Amino acid sequence: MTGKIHTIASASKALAAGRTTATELVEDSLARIAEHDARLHSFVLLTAEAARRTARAADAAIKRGKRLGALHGVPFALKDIYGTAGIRTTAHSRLLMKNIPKRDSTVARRLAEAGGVLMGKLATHEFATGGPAYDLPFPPARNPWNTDHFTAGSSSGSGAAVAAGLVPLGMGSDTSGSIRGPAAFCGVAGFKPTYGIVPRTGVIPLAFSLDHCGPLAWTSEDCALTMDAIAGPDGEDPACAPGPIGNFTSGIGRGIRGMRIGVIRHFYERDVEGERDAVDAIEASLKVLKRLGASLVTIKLPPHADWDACCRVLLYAEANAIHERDLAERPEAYAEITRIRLLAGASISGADVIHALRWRRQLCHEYGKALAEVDAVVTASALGAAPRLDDLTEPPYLAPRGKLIMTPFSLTGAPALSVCAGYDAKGLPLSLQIAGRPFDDANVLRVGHAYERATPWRDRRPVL
Amino acid sequence: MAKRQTTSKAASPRRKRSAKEQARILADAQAALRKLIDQIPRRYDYSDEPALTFDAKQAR
Repeated sequence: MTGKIHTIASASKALAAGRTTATELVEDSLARIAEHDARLHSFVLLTAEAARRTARAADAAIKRGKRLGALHGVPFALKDIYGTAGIRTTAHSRLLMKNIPKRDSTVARRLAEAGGVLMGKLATHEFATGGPAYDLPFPPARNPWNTDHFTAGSSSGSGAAVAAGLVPLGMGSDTSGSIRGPAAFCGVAGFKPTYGIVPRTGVIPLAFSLDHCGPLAWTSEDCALTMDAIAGPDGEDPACAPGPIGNFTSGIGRGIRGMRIGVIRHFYERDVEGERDAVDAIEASLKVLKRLGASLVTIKLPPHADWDACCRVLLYAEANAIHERDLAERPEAYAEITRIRLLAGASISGADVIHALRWRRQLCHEYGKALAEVDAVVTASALGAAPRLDDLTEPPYLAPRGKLIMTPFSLTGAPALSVCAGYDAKGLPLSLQIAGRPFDDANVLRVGHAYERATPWRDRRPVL
Repeated sequence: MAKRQTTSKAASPRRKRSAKEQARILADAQAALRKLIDQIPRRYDYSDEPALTFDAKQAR
């Protein structure tokens, strides 16, 4: 064991140069999980022996000169809504404690084909919506920066595991912020790609028209490396855009000189009241982007409340449809928070949904108009550091768990990235969100990478 | 380096609520959702562009 915490990029370079082995990376990961995860609860299932076997096979292949690429031999873990052949996939729910899929989700298969080493399954909020909660088969994940605090959700285990250095990659899903929220509160990079770029095949859904699969990793570069392995149509997810999808690492290292970046100030200055530290961190980030050679222009979109209302109505209507039968037949099997949220969706009428869909189209049109003049946009991700966990487990259950700016990019399906933008006085992470035009994912990751390289925030890890 | 975190507090499972309490919590959630629904513009004046809920790509 080396005790070193790797990013995907650093692990990949070390493997390629023969300075480490997949077996060493897996043993380091297992040792950190053994030491810390009893307090973090980020894993709901560890596949240690399978990981050791996969790592040995990766080492043998690399030794033979058959290295598959950046992810070959690199440990990763999956939010427990990603189906895994022969491996329990619970969605953190009593309803699925005996669910053992016959086949891998497309993302799990692609990561395996890229040579990644699956370490196990990660905590989520139940069915990617109900949480944090204690009336579930597994405890909620805790924030590595301070375990009394919330990780955000629903990719809670992914955010915690990556921040703590247990794995360099945790796959998440994002329906109304479930990748970017945990990335913001846990101080990692979380990327929600353009809708329809990463197949959801084999992933337990929350809302069909809003679900996105994407990575949480320590850096934007790691997100880009992951995207190169998982993106592209699979012929099964009907929402997928036809390929080819492009190269997500194409902008990494190119800098942002000459880029025109829109700043959506009203989201964090007027629409949602932010904490001083969080707003200051965004303003400081804007200065960094300017120093790197980008020109900044203020742009305006419809108020955040509009996006939020439209997105959440559609989400709860779709989620209710998915869970309708189980809500009727075994409602007690859900955690209370999940059951209440899903049942509330039954009160949405057909006309409500149709009007919301028409509104969504109009909002997307507004987004497209605003983005026509810029290469990317920046705004807040979370408007404060992670709140205390135990303050969030009681009703009212439909109230947001944290001040988050997520739904504009959920509704539009636009690529959006949350990156760490510093720390508050208590040492909890602050965040910045970078978004772009649909299918312009590489530019968003390019801005994120340039920002991370120009700031010291990636030099600090939580002390566990 | 970040300041060392405080010790995690073990949470105890919540007591089971009565049916009446649960009904009240659901009613509160429905009321919160109703506030969101009430923000949706609902006017359609018969000259708007065609309904926007399905597109040709989906008809393949």
